[in-house]
Order: sequence, then structure tokens, then C-alpha cells
Amino acid sequence: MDGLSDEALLASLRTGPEYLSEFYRRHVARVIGMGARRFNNAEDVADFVANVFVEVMTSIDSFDPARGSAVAWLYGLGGNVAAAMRRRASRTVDAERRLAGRALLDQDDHARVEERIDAAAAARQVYEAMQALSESDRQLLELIAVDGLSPSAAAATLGISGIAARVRLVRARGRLQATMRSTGRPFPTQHTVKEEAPA
Amino acid sequence: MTREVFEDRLHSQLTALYDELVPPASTTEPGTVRGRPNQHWLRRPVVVVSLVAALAAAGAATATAAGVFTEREKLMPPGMADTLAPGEETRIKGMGCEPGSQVVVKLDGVQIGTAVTETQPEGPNQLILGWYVADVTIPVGTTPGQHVITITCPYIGDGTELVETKEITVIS
Repeated sequence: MDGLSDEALLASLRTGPEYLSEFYRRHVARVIGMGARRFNNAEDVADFVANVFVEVMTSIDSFDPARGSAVAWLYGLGGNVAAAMRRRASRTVDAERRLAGRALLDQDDHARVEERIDAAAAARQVYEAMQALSESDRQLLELIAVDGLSPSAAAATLGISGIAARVRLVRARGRLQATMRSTGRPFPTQHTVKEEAPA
Repeated sequence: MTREVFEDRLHSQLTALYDELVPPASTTEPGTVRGRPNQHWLRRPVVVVSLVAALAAAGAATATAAGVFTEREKLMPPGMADTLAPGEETRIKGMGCEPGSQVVVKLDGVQIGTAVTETQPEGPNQLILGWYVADVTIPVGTTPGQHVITITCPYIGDGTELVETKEITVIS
């Protein structure tokens, strides 16, 4: 199992739960980091992590290795889950009812997740400011500025061309800069994320 | 002995849900949806609904007209939005299914919703046209691009399988 690529694990996921377990083991820390950059309390981060892996299971048919890596797909999924949690889309609410991550947190977990939330304060500030952007601009900028994907990896995740991504990125950064300046917040000059870079 | 943490407990829960949530490997693969491609989709579902409603209101629809409206080759295609986002809810309206039958909606071969066809006659001429309304959500994990919606139900005319398909664009 250790020798299998992430893409091979996803391709095999429908054949047995052991592939899900291995994919989960490899990426759960990364997904907790994604959650900490988007939500400011441990309960929401826990729900986010649970929802992302529920989506991994229910949306496995949407993974196409020809369009990008498994990790890029996971980031795209995470972005959609976070947006849906914010909108309280019905399907996500259903997932929360089915598996509420927050119910699985104990006191020690709570403190541990809060530490990660504190460490991701800058990224979360940028993420919050992005909510004023259009959906397409936000998704692209979120993957790059919050999750640390390269522009080409973000383009592959969203299914758009590299040229379209660059054009959209320039526009999105300009709008985000204006938004953050208007609220007196500093605009990040580099990737805000210092955590692990996606493969 | 290692103490159990959140990640361990979540892993146990996810594993327990595996059989319920993961589509079995034997189901239809994405992109192999059966049915004839429908080239005559109207852009706005309201047009479909309004057209039939207007005809019925004008008295053009009689008991015979019900047969005309539900002739297999002349069925109004189901109406729904052409462009949707992941996580977005949308409504699909269609006709031509057996009254009280189940309508199944799939996205790229994976079921995303069901509906039950009307059983009560409607309109001034009290026609039963096999109408249904299905509220479905585009799965959050759907990738941007072209996808196929397939709607199946027993045909109102003879109970054989009626399959309608529609291409939609999922935007990011």
C-alpha cells in the first residue's frame, strides 16, 4: 500500500475501504490545515475535515487523473466544501448530520486544533477578504494564496487553461488588494501559507 | 499504548460509512449514460411549462390532446438550468412518466435525486401528463466542465423505460 501513488489510491478507492484508510492517513493533516485556514473555531474545522472526506467518498467518480493530481483534486474539493459550509448548502448539511466532526473532538484535540487555527490567522484573514470576490475569482485565489498551489496546479484543479488562470489571477489580486486596503488590512505580497506545499 | 485522537475517531466513523457512501465498483461508469441525445432542449424551463399550460388554458388540450402531448417522440424535454455550480440546488421539471412512478435523476451515471410523478389530473381539462418535479443538488465535488444529466422513468404510454438526457455546464 505504501508504494501506491495517491492517484492509484483514489482509483482503487471503490474496491475497498483500505484504500480510503491509506488516503486518509496520508492527507488528514493537510485537510486539517485547510480547515484551520478557513474557519476560526475547532468545531467548524472538525466538521470541515469530516465533510471533505465524506465528499472524497461520495464524489470519487469526479476524480480524473488526467486533469490533475489527487492532491490538487483534494484542494478543489476542500474549497467547494468550505464554500458550501458557508452557504449551508443542503447536501453539506446532510453530511454534517450524518457525520458531525465536532462530536469527535475531545479537550486535547480542541486545544491542538486551536493551535493550528492561531497559526493560520494571516491566511484566514485573506480568506475572509476573498468572500467579497466573485465565485470564480475567489476559487482561484483561494487555491493559490490560501492553500499555496502554483497557478498551473490551481488552473488544473479548476479545469481552466493556464492563460485564463493568469488573467483571472491578476484581476482577482487587484480586487482583493482593493478590498483589503479599504478595510485597513495589509495585502500579502507572497503566499500566505507556510505549511506543506501540495505535490 | 497510543491515545486515540480526533483523527482516529474520524477514521473509524468514515470507515463505518464506507459501504453507504462509496459508489460500488460495479455501477455504471461516468460518461456511459444510456439514452438518445436530445438536441431540442429549450433554454428556459419556464418556456416548457408555460407552453403546455397556455395550451391547456386555451382549451386546446382535450382527452385526445393528452395522448398527443405524451406521444413518446413529441414529449416536451425536461426543463432545467443549463449552467450550474457545485453545491447548487436546481429544479428539473418534466413529463411523460407513469403517474405515481419513480423518476431517477443521475449526473454522469451517478444518482443525485429522485421524484415521484403526479397522480392527480391538472389544468382546466383535467389532463394527466405524467408531470414530475425533481429538486436535486449538483454534488460539491463535481469538476467544472460539461456533464450529462440523465432522467429515467416508466413511460406513461406503455411502462417501458423512458430516458431523457441533457448536457449541462458546471462552472467553478
